[in-house]
Amino acid sequence: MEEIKGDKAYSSARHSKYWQQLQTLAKHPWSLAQSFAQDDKRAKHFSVQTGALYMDFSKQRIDQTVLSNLLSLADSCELDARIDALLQGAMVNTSEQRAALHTALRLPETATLQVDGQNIVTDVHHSLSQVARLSERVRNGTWRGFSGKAITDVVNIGVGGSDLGPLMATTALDEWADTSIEVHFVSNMDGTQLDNLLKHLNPETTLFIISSKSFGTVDTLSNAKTALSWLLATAKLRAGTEDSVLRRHFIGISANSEKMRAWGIHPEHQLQLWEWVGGRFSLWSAIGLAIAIRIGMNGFKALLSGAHSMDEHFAQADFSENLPVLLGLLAVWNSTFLQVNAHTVLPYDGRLGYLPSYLTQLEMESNGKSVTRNGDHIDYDTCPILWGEIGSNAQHAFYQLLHQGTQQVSCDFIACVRRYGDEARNSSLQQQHELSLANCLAQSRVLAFGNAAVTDLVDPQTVSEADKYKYYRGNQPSTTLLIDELTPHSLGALIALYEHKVYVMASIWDINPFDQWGVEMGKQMADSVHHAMQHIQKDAQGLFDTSTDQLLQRIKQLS
Amino acid sequence: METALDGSHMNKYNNKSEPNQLTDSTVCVLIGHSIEAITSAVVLASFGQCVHLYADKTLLKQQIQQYGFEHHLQALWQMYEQQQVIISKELPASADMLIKGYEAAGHNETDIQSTVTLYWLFLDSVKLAWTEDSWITAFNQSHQQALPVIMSGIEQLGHVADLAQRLRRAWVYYVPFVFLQDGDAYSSMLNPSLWLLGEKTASSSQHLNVLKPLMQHARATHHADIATIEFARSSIMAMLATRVSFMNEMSRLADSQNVDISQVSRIMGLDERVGSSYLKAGWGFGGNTLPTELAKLQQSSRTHSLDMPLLQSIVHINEDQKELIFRKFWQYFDGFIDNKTVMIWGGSYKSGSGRTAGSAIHPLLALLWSYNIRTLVYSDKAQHELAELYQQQPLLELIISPYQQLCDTHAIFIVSWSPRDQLDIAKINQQAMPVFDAQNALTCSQINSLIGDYMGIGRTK
Repeated sequence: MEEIKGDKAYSSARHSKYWQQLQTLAKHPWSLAQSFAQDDKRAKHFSVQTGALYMDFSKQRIDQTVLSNLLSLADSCELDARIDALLQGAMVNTSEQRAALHTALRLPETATLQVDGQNIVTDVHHSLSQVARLSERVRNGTWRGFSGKAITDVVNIGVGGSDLGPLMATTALDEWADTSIEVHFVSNMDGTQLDNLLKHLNPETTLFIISSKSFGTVDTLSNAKTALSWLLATAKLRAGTEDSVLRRHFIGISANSEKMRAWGIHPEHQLQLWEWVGGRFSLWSAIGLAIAIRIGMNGFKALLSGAHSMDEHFAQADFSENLPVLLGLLAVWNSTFLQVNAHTVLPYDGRLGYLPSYLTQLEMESNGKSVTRNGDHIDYDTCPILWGEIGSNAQHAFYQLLHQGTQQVSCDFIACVRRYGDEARNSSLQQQHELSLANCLAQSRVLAFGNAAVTDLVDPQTVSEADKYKYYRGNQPSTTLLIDELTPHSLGALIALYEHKVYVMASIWDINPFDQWGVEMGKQMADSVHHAMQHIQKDAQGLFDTSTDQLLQRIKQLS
Repeated sequence: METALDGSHMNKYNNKSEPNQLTDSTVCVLIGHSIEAITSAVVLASFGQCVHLYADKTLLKQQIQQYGFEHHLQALWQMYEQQQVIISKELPASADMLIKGYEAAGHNETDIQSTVTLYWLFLDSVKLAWTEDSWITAFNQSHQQALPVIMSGIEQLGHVADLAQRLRRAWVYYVPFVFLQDGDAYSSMLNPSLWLLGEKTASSSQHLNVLKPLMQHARATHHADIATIEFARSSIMAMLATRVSFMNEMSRLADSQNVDISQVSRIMGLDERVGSSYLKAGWGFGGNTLPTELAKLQQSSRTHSLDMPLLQSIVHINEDQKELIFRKFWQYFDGFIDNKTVMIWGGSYKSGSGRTAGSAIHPLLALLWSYNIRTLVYSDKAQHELAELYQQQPLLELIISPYQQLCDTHAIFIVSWSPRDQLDIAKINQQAMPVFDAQNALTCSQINSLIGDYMGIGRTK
């Protein structure tokens, strides 16, 4: 693979003078209320737009000096070169010695991207045509189960990136679903989801998508095995053979075709992944098959197109107007310099209910690291703890902590401006949407200004000592993202925005966001414990630590 | 059956001299291009009535062509047109123009003074040309409020009654074509199995003297208010559909019990409480009437926020039934059906008809083609309609003999085979191929004579 630039040759932001300057600036006692009072054009100065996304970051604890230093910090680590490296297929995943080419998955068919002397856009579009062919056969009723019945339900079995991306996107875009075929998602290792689901499905009309990059993920394969048993139990009553069940009811998506074949996935029903697609960046690939089945290939292509438009913006826009760059720099500012080590994502739109979970994996699995790409220990805070919930639900759950807790938490408010446009039949839905938008703006305002946000209701000067529990301190930083309208295209842009935000943060922190070594050891240990559970005597001791031994013994005694 | 070609009906019912010798004729004004309108025109003509049929002439011509398989009706139509007993006229832009044309003194294209006996509106056709408000206003502004107006068509429950109320005149009627049989349209109207008449004004059928012969010849008649007749019409049709779907559901159980559902149907028919009609399992029901009726009923249930799960099931079973034979074919070959060649006999929604609306052949062809299966179709009556519909489809080959190219095919499908046509089992046996009988057209002895496998609906070899 041809490197754009040797990885180790990038300059480090950590050692630039801007890092020190930002550390100094961070000690400044920031008051959002004062910042707004001093600049009546603050909102205008700290907001940017591209396409359907409008970002207001004026409620972050920054001023022009901080922003200028952050932009310089980005330059100091050669962020532009790093972006080029990412988009051009350089070996940005250093620990695994490969590129991270999720952006190539949404390149238009006319584009070219040479990797190892091969135009991978051709491969990508060949794979997309396979997705189109299979999804269309399912959607138009040509795909038949072992008894000849058309498919009514599709179950996507996967975990992590093979689950969260398609789950989040199909939920967000369900209004675009133009088929009666239902798509379900199963990820839990313990079988709870599958058990609940199978009670309601017909084996004759259910198709399973087994998504696993390695096709060795135990969570996924255990669910797949249960699904196969369930199908066979019915098929045998109808003279259906195992071969017929495997051929008619399973599609495999993996980078490991040998393991798919060994499991029994028919070659024509195998969709290939590439090693250079990370799981949490993979919904643009064949992993998105469930999305294509639910909203159609045109909808899926619009999703890709939206993401590509954000890629172009990321590559071309000046950093001062570049949404992913600004969002990433603000995250670094909060986490590394202001020690705001918790971040919450608050979509004020039920359709985006799974976005926080998706972003939790995207950000924390990518940037939850403590060594640089060169293996040096890091002496600064990296990825914050991220979680989230639909904003209006979160108001009744953890907003108490945001408003009056002791933790500093940064927030992303996300809302769609237009909704229910075609549903004149029910103006009360429009009113609900307006109410939700109003809550979104109100909460970001109270978080920023505390009691000062509602001076007409509560005079902060008059809150007595006895009433301190009514006090809202404010000054919690937040960014508000407004989406003109939630469509496949705008959702694609939104997801790509966060993908690139992650890369910007990783670049400043000089970490590799594309590996996840931290999840490996637990898998290996689970194999050992599982083996012990099955083969070791009840009273065996000294296998693990005394705590684990004791717990294991209790499980074996009771089971 | 009696035929009107020799003028026997005219002699029987006509009180007047030969129609083309009329000097001061009365005319029945019919508005519509549907098969119901055409049949009504011919029947009225055979009663000696002069008929002016107003329709979109292009649509009328298409309809007459599509119903080419109604040989009797076609022959009479041509004869009465030549004799100018039936005069088809282009539908004017408004009902007002049409009515005023008759009311204006001295108006007549054939220089004969015409007096209108009745207006008969076929609502499906009327709504294509005129808005309801416009034609109701035109009729209400007419000077001849004593003239009867008949309406026919399948509308949402209560709609015809509503239209009748909006008409100012008292003599408004609704005639549902529950008696009409495709392939035998003329005779089934001439001797209706059931004559229903909805009256806006109770006991006013004497104002429909021209239709008296129909009422007299009906095996059963009933007159009631329009809303009741509409409801009765829908209920009759839904019941027939229910029987078909019920038998089709039972046929699936029969499949797993190795029982021949055809025999069960015959036994059930022996029970007077059940009766024998509409008990035949097969690929379901098609055509226009039953599906339209069920759709209108569902529409009514939605309008009134009523849940009608039985109706939904009837429709669901019927739709699913249309591809059941494909699934049997699929199972037979364990899904390895790509690129095969199959023979299909019949394409119409019922034997004797040339219409394919709602026929199982459409979903069957679509499914077969999605597997790149070459389809040889023999359907003498529906050949024309299939050719028109699928002229661009390279996998379709319409053949003129059922046994042509049989040696090239992997299976035979039977969609609608007329009992009058003898099956040549020996020719089928030359290839020993499986037969997928969606109509349960074969007799038990024919099935037993087959060398190859047989898969019917609720019956196997």
